[in-house]
Amino acid sequence: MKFHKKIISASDNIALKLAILAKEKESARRKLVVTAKQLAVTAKEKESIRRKLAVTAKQLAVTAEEKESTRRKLVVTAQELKKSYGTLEKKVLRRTKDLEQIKSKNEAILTSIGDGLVVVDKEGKISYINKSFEEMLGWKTQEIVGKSMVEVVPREDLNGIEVSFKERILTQVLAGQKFVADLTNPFYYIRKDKSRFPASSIVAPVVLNKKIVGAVEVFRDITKEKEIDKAKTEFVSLASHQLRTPLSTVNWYSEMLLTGDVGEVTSEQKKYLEEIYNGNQRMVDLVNTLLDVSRIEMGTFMVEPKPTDIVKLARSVIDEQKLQIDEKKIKLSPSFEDNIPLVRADPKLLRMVIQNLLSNAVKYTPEIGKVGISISLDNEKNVILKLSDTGYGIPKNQQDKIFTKLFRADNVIGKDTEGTGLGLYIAKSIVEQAGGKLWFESIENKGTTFYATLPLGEVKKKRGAKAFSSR
Amino acid sequence: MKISKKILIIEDEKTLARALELKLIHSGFEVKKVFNGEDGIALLQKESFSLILLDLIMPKMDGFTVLAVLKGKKIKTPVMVLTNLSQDNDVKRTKEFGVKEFVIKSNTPIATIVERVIKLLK
Repeated sequence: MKFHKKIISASDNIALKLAILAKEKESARRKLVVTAKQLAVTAKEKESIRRKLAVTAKQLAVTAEEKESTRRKLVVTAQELKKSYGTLEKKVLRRTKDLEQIKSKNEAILTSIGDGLVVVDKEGKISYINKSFEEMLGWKTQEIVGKSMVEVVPREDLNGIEVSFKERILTQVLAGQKFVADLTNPFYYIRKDKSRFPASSIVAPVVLNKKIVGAVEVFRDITKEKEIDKAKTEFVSLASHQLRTPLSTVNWYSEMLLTGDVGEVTSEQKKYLEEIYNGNQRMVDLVNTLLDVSRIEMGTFMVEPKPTDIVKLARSVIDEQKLQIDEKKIKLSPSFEDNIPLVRADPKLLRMVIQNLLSNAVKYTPEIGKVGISISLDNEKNVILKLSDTGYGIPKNQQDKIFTKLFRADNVIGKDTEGTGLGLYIAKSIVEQAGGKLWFESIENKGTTFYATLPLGEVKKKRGAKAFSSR
Repeated sequence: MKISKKILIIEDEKTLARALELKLIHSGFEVKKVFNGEDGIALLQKESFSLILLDLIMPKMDGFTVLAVLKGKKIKTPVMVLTNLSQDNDVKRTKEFGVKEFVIKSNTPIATIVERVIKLLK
């Protein structure tokens, strides 16, 4: 039994071992199957990689081709660039030449400007002067560039007093206080050798990006203009003398005949002589008016303003024209406000204004008409002179021309009225010179009203042109 | 009988000088006339006058120069300027020489001139 048992147990062991082996074999087989499967997968992957590699190889081949093409293209581009460069270089050269030409042309233009020219930087230091500057002021470019214009070239006013640094227009322009200096303010420039000449100038800022970076001054020697001015004044003197001398002869001799200095004249003869005398008188008036016009235009009138009683002046003008007023049976109604202050005006000129306005009102109003003259104060303390009439009026379509020199309206030319077309021109010039205004309202065949305002403020004293020439 | 006053007319325009002469003689003055400034000065150095009627624009020596020479020679005869110049500056220049009367011939009747002379010499 025991043996049996032993055999059983031995065979059992073998069976067990066999079973284990079988199991191991099975496991190994399974593993092999797995490995085989894995191998198969790897083979597939390999195939896929191979294929990919093949694709990459193809792609590489394509890239190589592209590279070659690019290289070729680059070669062409390089050639083109070289060509363009050559052209460009030529163009630049040509352009540079052009620019140089333009520059030298511009420089030549600046240099040749007949007026003195100076360019300064924002500190007022000279950066450029032209030839006229050199000639007029006696300074050479190399001596003066970089120096302060205001310091090197002094200015004197008309009284010979040096203009201070602060008052120099150049200083003011650079400081942005003033934008263009006017030409109406002549002065003297002092040359290097300390001599001087009369000049007028324009100074303007050089503005870059809204900032003042310097200034340009252009100036002119006005010696010639002053000489012309003097010549004009002398011409008027001479003309007035030449025209008035024969008029004086006719005046005096007809007067002497009329007063019977060489024997009695008949009443018929007297009438004729009066015609001669009156005709001549008109000519005298015309010459006087023409002289006034030329004096106003040339500024040879010496305006000497002083406190003037305008009401008194008006009354005396009325007295002066009483004869004409009465002759036409015109009803004159003066109306002068009380307490009109003294006006600061030149009485001689103010008188001319009133004379012109009153004589016009009388002249252009038919017989038995009405003329009003009034003087009052407005709210702004201006003196207002008002002259109204019930006369012919000024045609609407000619109202804008009525202050034009020598203009006479159609509706009065036809009537037998004397007139030169100068009175209103003179009156307006005088009133405006005094800082006032002159205007009118008019309806044809109803009448006209002229208004003149005169400020009570200061009137600038103005010197006549002859005095001007002695400066 | 009072001694008549002597007036010198210096005026180059002969017709005007003649008219003035006639009028003044008629008013009882003694009158001499010359036609330029030079002759005027020459005469003034020899004779004395109560009044000079002086034109301004004249040949040889003009009226302004006459005034200057008179001042230089200290001849103090009163002067009435009779001229056809009327610019403010002409008036001013003569006033600076102490001229009291400035008459514009074309604007003044000859009777008025005689009146002014009479008034001046009264």
